[in-house]
Amino acid sequence: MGSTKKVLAVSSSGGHWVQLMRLRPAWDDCEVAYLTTEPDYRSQVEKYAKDKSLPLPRFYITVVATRWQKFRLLRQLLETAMVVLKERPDVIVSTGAAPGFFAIKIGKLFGSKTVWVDSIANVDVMSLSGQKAASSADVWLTQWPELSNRKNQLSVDQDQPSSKLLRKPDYWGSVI
Amino acid sequence: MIFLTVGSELPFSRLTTAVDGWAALHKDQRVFGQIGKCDNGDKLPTTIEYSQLLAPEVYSKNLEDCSVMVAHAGMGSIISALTIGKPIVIMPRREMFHETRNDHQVGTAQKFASRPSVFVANDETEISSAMDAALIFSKEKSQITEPVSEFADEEFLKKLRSFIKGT
Repeated sequence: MGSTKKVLAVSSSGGHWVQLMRLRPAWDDCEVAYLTTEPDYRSQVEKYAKDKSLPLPRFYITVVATRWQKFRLLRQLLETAMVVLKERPDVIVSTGAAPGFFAIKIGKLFGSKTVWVDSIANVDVMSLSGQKAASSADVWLTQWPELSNRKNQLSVDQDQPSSKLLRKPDYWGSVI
Repeated sequence: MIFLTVGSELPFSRLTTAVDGWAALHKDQRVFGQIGKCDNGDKLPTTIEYSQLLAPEVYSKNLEDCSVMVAHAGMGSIISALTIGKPIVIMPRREMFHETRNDHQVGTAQKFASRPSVFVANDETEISSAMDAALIFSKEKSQITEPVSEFADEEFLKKLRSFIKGT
């Protein structure tokens, strides 16, 4: 209470980033850092901060990697780890995909609270990175109520591995 | 102007070719495409103007200037169109043609089809009718297509904000 929270907001480029940007008013009063794969996005977050008279966010870049590019993924993992260790954020928020998964896994080990917002593109099933992030996500969200635990509230005991299999994502709303 | 975009990564030749074919029959319509990074083997359009990749400012300018957007069923494109209040034709990339890693765009397209300004072409054979419908919509409804907010619903933001504060 009282102290400014540190938030690390993470996503890859394209639709994931567009969705992260739609959530950013949630961390207006925080100390913010972004981690993404597209250097051009820096001006966008700096303009937003200036327009709202907020402190400039820190901005980090990691390499683009698909799930088949093992070396790039390893580099992305290491670069993400460096950022998490440097920032030591109170909260990590990600809209996906791989860099967000890495950030949430690593952040959880170092005491950050973690929020996974699965892309609104995933209407039938949680994304692969979302499924893998589940066990380290304090808040694990889908943007479609049909996929969520809304109807049959399951109690989730995160310390019970068996219950993870039953965990259904929460639904808090959608970015659009 | 009609703005075609296939996203910033892979080309999507089924869509680009279908739009190019439509443009050949509609010479009165100017079409500009961002068609993705093409390799030597990729088929290039013969009628429409295009660029493989646009700088973000040029992309935004095209978005503002167009009357209809045509895109793959990716969230970046769909959210852009809804935010700026332009009708959009979307066609899902398919795994079986190696256009993407899974068929999630099929579901995305189905879900967003319920929005009045979103026109779905399930495949290239439906592009022409979807584009015609979107053009008619743009002429009739342009004044009432309300741009949606630049940000998520306030309820969603409130929950996130309170989670962050509570940590």
